[in-house]
Amino acid sequence: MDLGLEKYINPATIEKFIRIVFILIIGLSSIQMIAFMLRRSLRKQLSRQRMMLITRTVTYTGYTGLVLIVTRELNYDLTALFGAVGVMGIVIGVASQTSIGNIISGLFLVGEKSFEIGDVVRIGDKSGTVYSIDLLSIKIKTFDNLLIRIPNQTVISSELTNVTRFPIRRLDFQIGVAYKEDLRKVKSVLENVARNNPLCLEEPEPYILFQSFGDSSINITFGVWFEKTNYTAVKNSVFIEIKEAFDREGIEIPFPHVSVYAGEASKPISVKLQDEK
Amino acid sequence: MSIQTNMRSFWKKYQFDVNQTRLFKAGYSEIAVKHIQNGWLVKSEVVDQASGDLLVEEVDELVDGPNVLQFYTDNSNELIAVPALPDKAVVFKNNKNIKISAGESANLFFRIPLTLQFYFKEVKDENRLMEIPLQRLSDTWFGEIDSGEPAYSIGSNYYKSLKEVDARIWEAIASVEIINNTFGVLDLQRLILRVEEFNLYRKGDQILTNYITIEFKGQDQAESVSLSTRDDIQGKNIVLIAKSRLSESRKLLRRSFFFIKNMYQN
Repeated sequence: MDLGLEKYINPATIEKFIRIVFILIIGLSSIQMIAFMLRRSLRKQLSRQRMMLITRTVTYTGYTGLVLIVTRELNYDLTALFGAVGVMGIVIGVASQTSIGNIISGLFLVGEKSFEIGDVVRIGDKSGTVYSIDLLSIKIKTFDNLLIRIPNQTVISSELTNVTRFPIRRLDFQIGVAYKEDLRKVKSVLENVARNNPLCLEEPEPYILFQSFGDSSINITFGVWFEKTNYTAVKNSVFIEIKEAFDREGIEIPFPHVSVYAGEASKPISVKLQDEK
Repeated sequence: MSIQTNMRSFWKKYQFDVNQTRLFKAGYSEIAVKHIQNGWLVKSEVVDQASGDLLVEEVDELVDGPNVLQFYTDNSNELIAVPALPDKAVVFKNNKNIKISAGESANLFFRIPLTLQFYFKEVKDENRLMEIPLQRLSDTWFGEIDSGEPAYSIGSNYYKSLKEVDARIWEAIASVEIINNTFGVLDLQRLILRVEEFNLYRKGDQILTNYITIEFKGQDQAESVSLSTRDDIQGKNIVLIAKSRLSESRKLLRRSFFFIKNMYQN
């Protein structure tokens, strides 16, 4: 039975096939090798996302070149292909305005260097650690271990706070004390709390500001500086130590009181204190 | 029960029998170490009252529990106690308005609490079991808030001569010579000592660091820092008891002083 395969399987096409496979193997391994060498040599000089951008540009350019070489080997007419690509480009461009906007925003984000992979950021009402910076979006891992994808365009048009950009931070506590308290004593007690906690930096000095005469308390901002990696330990330990120090010194932290009524016309519920025996 | 109070007999190699436990008391730390088959159990605690001496006691038993660290090593029964300087630089905060005139120099001496390092078999990095600071120093920051470096604070105590220094047996003494090589007055506000680069030497019952010479060349220039030993400080027969944490570089160009412009408040 003659299937007419001689037309396709003959020494010339086999030779061409072998040549294309050879070009693909050499081309792909060369692109991977160049990308690997770039990653190794730039690891110490560039941030992770810049390195990623450069290696991706190199690999995509390499793949495009490889496709063109293979196409020429197959004797396709590239003029027609370029024409088709041009038309397709317009169609795709119109259809993917958002994606292109995201890509361009991504380039600006990388260039701006406002954050890097591993930084803790706050974008709008979302907070987390930057997990990856991709072509169209950045991904952040929240503290409760969720992955959030935020389009680059949203990131570039939103207010972004990089929480861990600098090596040290200040943690502010809002504290209220009763009007009867001696404010100089309160200040001294707070200074001692910061001084006695080894995780609170001695310098910059703690920040104590009497903020306002509130409805039922004098409001104070107490800020302690710490190394950014110690956030949880500092927050918990200082919180506990403020409470303990105020209890020890008899400083009152007032809190709102609520009176409970059974109904509009009812009298307040009477509460009696009885000795427990 | 045996108690050792001599500095030389504390920083040394100890032989343990299997299941033998010793309690090391130094500074604000108490560390119980028990030798087990192919390993060690270590429990360290911070105490409120610093020990005046370096003590080693034989104790009955170290009860295994959640606070006890277990190290699997070879079957070596040797434990070596080695002194070390803190793992971060230390900062001196000048409260007494020390100023050094143009072309003049000043000698200052500081006390720096030691850290106790335990090694099994021999002193090399891979054999280090753990290290325990004998006094927990407060964290602090040296330099600007966006570009400075973390350090420990040694407060504002300093001495003008080696004889004056009332160092405790678990503290090292750092001798620093500051040379003001400018045409202006050096107002010493904050001084950083990069103790990770200092060796420790023994002189009698004292432990001393290198002799540190810092040449101030102006506020906008890095200082030249050199480390050396001197007969009148470290003694003629120099006894090196611990090498620096970082590799030695005898001449360093670094910022050693920080001048406060505006104290960080917003």
